[in-house]
Amino acid sequence: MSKTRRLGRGVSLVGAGMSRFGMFDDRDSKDLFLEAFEEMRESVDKGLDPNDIDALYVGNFTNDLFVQQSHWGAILTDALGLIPKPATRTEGACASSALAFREGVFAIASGYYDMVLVGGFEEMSKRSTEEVAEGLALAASPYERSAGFTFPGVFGAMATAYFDRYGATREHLMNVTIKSHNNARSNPKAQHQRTIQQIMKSRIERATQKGDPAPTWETEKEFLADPRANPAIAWPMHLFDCSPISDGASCVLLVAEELAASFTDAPIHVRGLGQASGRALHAADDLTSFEATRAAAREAYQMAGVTPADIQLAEVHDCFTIAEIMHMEDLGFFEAGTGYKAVEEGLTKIDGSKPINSSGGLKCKGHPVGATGTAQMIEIWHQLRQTAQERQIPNQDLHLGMTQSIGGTGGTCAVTILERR
Amino acid sequence: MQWVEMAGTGTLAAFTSISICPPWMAQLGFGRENPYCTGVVRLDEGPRIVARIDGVDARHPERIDIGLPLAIRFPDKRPDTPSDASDDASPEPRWVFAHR
Repeated sequence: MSKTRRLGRGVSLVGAGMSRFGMFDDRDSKDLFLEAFEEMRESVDKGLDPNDIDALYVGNFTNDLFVQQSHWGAILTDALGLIPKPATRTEGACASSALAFREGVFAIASGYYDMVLVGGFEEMSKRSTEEVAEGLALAASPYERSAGFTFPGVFGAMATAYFDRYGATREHLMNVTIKSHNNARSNPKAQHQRTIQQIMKSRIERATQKGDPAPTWETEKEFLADPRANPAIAWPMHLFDCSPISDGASCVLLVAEELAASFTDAPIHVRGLGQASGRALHAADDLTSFEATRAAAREAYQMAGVTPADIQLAEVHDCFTIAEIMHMEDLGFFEAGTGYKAVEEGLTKIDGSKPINSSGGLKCKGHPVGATGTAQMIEIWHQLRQTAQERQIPNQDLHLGMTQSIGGTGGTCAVTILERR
Repeated sequence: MQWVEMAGTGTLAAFTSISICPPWMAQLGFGRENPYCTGVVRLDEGPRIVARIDGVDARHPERIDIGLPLAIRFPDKRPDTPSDASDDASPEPRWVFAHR
């Protein structure tokens, strides 16, 4: 058994805010982060003087490449009017803001700072799909790139191994897609807020208006099986298996636990943390599982003193549908090879026994990669505080939630357990 | 560390057929209309390697089976490459695996 880790002192979330996620040609990273910051500021129940923020940690992956600008810690601190507060940027591919969150937690737990702003942002939509695919692939291993793999390709290959080993099919992945769209319908921040049914209806109407032959899909799965509606990206990953290209920002305000009551009567506390690294695809110990997720989860459960059964809801890193299934298994919610059956049985729906990605997940909420880690925590923040409105999980006694972010194709994983007491 | 020679034979452990490809693969003529197969090969000696997979129908990935026996090839100029493989800037792979 590895060492049980502890924080030097407790750390609590007392504010949370995110921008709308989507593709915005008229807003840049600063605009999006300011939008997230303003919502965070308003969310602090008893008020916040931003001058009390001691330091900032912000996660970002690709801005150096896509907007040719680096040094974002200082730039955002200036944009927020917080000069000369110290700022640090973290980079862990798609887990970048999950790493910023950890650094903020450690800075407070050490006693060095009392209040820290942590968050992330990404600006991706001003580049072509091919450029974004190539940029994101910088986080894959060099071997994978030279063999012609893309990000969807790595997850597609893992899906074929999973299908072969456990008997799942594309139809089981469709269940994940349909659930994500149903959840995002009532998330006002989500990039895709329409259900698959609504998308089908509008496409049939559009075809009819144009005088084209109307598609004859009867069910959501017929729509998803139609290559014209849902083209292949990297077999068996199709368009509706993939999270979108997104712009967005998110942030949360952390304070020392002993100070939390001066900001809110409903703080959310950091109960468990885990981070781990994993190997490239050819060297992975198992092609149907993420080694880094299993290790990070073990660390977080041990620190929190809880088991997978104690976690009441989770936001997991569903950059692709198959990833949601594998993560649920790696986090111990379901036995290896049974995650797809749990989705089919409805256990992971909002009203199921283990709601997963009530926000709509990366798939529908959007995946501005650097913003994703803290955005996942914001969903847990709302659910535990019973402020998730129409997508609120119907359980008055929600007190323990989890987030799980991976970077790249599983090279980094960060797991956080959040608690409302 | 020491060199260990492998026979260059193995089986397909995982694969994908890529329709949306990086710009440098698009330059070779691949893309939506001409997908390519790439995958993970389990070598007979045990270790795995990632490689382009030739000799399979990337347009019908549903017909490709895990466990397919494969052997390594070192292409000079491959007849199925839809552009000039002698181009110095070409990212032509130094090895591929094909059905044996």
